[in-house]
Formats: sequence, C-alpha cells, structure tokens
Amino acid sequence: MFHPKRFCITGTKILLLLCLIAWGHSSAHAASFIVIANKSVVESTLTRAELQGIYLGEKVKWGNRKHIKIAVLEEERTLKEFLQVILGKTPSQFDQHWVRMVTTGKASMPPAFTDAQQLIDFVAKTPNAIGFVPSGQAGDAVKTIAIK
Amino acid sequence: MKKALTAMMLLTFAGSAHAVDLAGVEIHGFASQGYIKTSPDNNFPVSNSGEGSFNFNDFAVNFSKEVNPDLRVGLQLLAMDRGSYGKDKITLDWAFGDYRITDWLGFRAGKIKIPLGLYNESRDNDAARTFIFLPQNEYYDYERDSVNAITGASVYGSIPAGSAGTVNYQFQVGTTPIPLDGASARNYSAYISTVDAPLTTTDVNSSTAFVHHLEWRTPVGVRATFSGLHTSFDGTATGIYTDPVTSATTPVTAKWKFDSWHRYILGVEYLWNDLTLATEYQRDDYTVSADYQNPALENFTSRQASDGWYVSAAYRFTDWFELGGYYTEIYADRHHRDGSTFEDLGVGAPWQTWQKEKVLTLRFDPVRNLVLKLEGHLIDGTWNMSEYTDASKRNWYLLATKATVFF
Repeated sequence: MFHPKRFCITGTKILLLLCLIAWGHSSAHAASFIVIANKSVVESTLTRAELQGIYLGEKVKWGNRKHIKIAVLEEERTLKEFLQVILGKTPSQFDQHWVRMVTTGKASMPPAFTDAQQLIDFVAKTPNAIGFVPSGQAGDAVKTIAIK
Repeated sequence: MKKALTAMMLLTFAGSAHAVDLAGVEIHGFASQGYIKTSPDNNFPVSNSGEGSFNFNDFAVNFSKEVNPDLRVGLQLLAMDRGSYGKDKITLDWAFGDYRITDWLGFRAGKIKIPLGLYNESRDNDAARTFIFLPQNEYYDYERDSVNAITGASVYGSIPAGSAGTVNYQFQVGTTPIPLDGASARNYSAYISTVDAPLTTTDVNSSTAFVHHLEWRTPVGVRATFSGLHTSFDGTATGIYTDPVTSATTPVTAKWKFDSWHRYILGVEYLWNDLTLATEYQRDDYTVSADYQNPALENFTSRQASDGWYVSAAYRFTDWFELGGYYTEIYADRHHRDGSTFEDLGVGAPWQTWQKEKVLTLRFDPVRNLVLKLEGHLIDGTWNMSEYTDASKRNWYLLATKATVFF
C-alpha cells in the first residue's frame, strides 16, 4: 500500500545519496596540472567532458577533423590528479581501460612518459598531440589548453 | 609439469614486458596460466577440474597498424586450454579493418568482438578485470567461443550528450562462427542428447546475427549499457541409441535447431575512487528443437526462457592489492525458478535448473605487467554444467588461481 510519509523518507535518502555521489565527483580543487597541445591544434579550450572523451579514446578527432594523438605523463602525483579530476578514474582503472582497448583492437596504447620534459618535447614535435604536465612546466614550445 | 613450468616462466618474464613496435606495427599480448580445483564430482569449466588441473590457460598476441590516421587494421591470435576443449589450438580471435570518419561514425569489417554487456569484448584478457571468472550467466565459459566475435561488419561511434556525458553505440551484422570442437557445439549436443543416446554435433550452420549495444557514460562515474544479440543456428548430430531393455544399439542422426534466439543484457557500472560496483541482468529466449532419425527417440520443440543477474564490488586498497566479490543467480526457466519444470518432466532435480554463486577474489599487481589472482566460489546448483557433464553435487566449490603477464 502507498504511504506518502515512507515515500518521502525514501525519496530523501535517494536524494542524499545522489548529492553524495555528485559531491564525490565535483570536489575538484585547484588543479596542479595543465593541459598542453601541439601548436597545430586549433582548439584553445576544452570541456571536461571533451577531455574525458579524448583520454578514453572516444573522441578521436579535433574540430578540423585531424586525428588526436594523446600522451600520458606517468609521474605519479600529476597522473593521479589528472585522472581523478578529469576522468574520475584511478591509474589502475585507467590502465585497465586501455588494456581493454588494445586487447580488442580498438586503439593503440597511448605513448607514456615518465618525465614531463620528454612529454612536452613529444607534444611539441607531434602534430595534433595533446598531453598534461605539472603547472608551470609547459614552456613556449607548446600551447596551453584551458579547461572550461 | 609442463603447465607448472609455463607458470614459472611467466613470473620470470614479468617486469620486462613492454609493448613492441616493429616498423609501425604495434604488438601486444598476454600469457595467462592458472590452476583450478573444484569439488571432485563437479568439473567446470575445465573438464578435469575435479582432480585439480593446470589445463587452464590463455595466450594471445595481437598486431595492429595505423595505415593512415583514419584507418587501422589488426588481428589477434588466441590459444586457450580448458582440458577437453581449447587444447591450446591457435585461433583467430579478431581481425578487422577500422575506418573512423568522425567521432560519431566509424565502420569496422572482418571478425569483430561482440559488445555484449559491460565486459564481453575484453573477457579474454585476465588482466583487464578483477575476477578470474566473470559471472557465468552473462559471461558463460561454455559460450565463449560462439559469442566472442562476429564475422561481418559494424557501424559505431560516440555522441556527446552535453552535461549528461557521452553515448557510445555499436551495431553489428554477420555470422557468429561456432567451432565444431569448441565448448558451445558440445553444449548444444548435450541439449539434444538423452541418457540412452549421447550425441555429438557434426555440423553447425549459423544464420545472420544482429548485435546492438548502447553505452551511456555519465560524468559522475556511472556507465550503463544495453545490449542485444539476435540469431539462429542449426546443425546435425550423430550417436548411438542403446535400448535400455534389450541393450540393442542403433545409429541416431538428429537435425537440431536453436531458433529465434534473443538475448538482452542491461548493465550498470559505477566507479568512485578505488571502488567499482557493477550489476547486470540478462535474459534469453529461444526455441530448441530436435528431429531424430530414429523411431526410438521422440522429436521435440521446446521454448526456453532463462535469466540471471549479479552484483559485484571491488576495492583497490593499494597499488598492488585489490579485493573483489560478487553474488550471482542464474535460472534455466525464469517462469519456474523453483525448478519444478525439470522435476515435473522427470529429467532432473530442481537444483539442476539454477546456479547461485558467492565469489571472493584477491588480485595482486606486484610489478608492472604482472597480475596474480586467487579466487574462491561457493555454488548452489549446477545449471551451467548440467547440460554438459553429469554433475552430481548440488553444493560445491571452485578454487582458482591465475598468473597473467601482459604487454
């Protein structure tokens, strides 16, 4: 039998749970990383959803239809923060996602770099490349992408 | 002994495993060796697991090349052993060309992995998941060879949905190859066999199959999928009928058919920091029929309606340790979950029509590219194995361990 009071209590619990979930995923603080791209890339800003798509291998084309080349920095602190803030994933979840992509033939494994300068050099010389590095390390060889 | 040596070699190889790139051809792969032990009378899914078995491995290597930024080609060779099937025979797991026009439109042609549920496409690679055995209703080991890949074409893409996230879609059309020496064909043989007439499938023909898969990935860590597979297949089986009274034997040939097979799977996965929660529900509807060329056996046509579901949770405590578990229920007849259909027909005990499992898994990643797992199952019922072997215990266990190197 329908009880309005019980319905309201249940509804409140569900709402609280949804708020908790939303809070857990929106608690991004000031990021200590920046997103960089090759100077051939037309875009200057990307939304978080677009960055998610790029780093999950779903969005593969820039606005000018050029193929996106992604690069991953393996430096632990920056990688963890980038993945958590942008993708909502841990490094192991991210690794497993790409193992699945490669095992099923959907994509190539993105190149990974242990050193930020190596990644910057790769992005600078690779047309349509994108990567992320600690804030303040981008230099002039690449362009910075703002996150909307 | 040979299998144990393989396992030791895997451990030695780990830590130095990296992807290989030869003249633009990217090479990846994995090697996975396990040991499995089940209750002595319940051999599943390895044919000799009751006595403990090392006939439990998977090896694969794949090659891919970017022909141009929009066009990729690749293939994967796979070998596995499960005792009486697999036997480390090298098979073509997938091989296709992939032409991506835009984010929302791409085409693939060849032998393509079938996207059923959350994990079917990637089920070959042990390193890509927490559990050794994925829940058996949605990822039935005896069906792996027949729902692994479709030979045909697909259209796919990703459609941004603004603040709601992204919708990924795939539609496939083709045929699903069913190898005669695989577990699926043997399982189908068991469907039409009787106690007095065990039959072996000698020919299988698959009709055109259709697959659809929608995946909604939200910005808050939720991934929801809805998939469907629609197909029919038929074949021939032969064997010997032994009269239970006179013991006289006569040959049997049977024409059998699995018609209008419709499978639907709903899945939801949620990631929150180091926690992964998942649940899926699957239902199958199909008609099985058999036409025996022997007057001693009665032809039949039977409408089947099975279903099953699971809930799973996994938590990664450290970079090298993850704990996971799931609970699953599977029913051969979703309209009679108490098993009364079997009982009424006198073909088996009620518990042979369901399978309820509690599973706990420890996953270790001690060094990069190496995964070690230990898994235990407590199982009530034998539906997944009763069509295939003569299971005799209602309550049974399965213990498995596996070492996987991937690059």
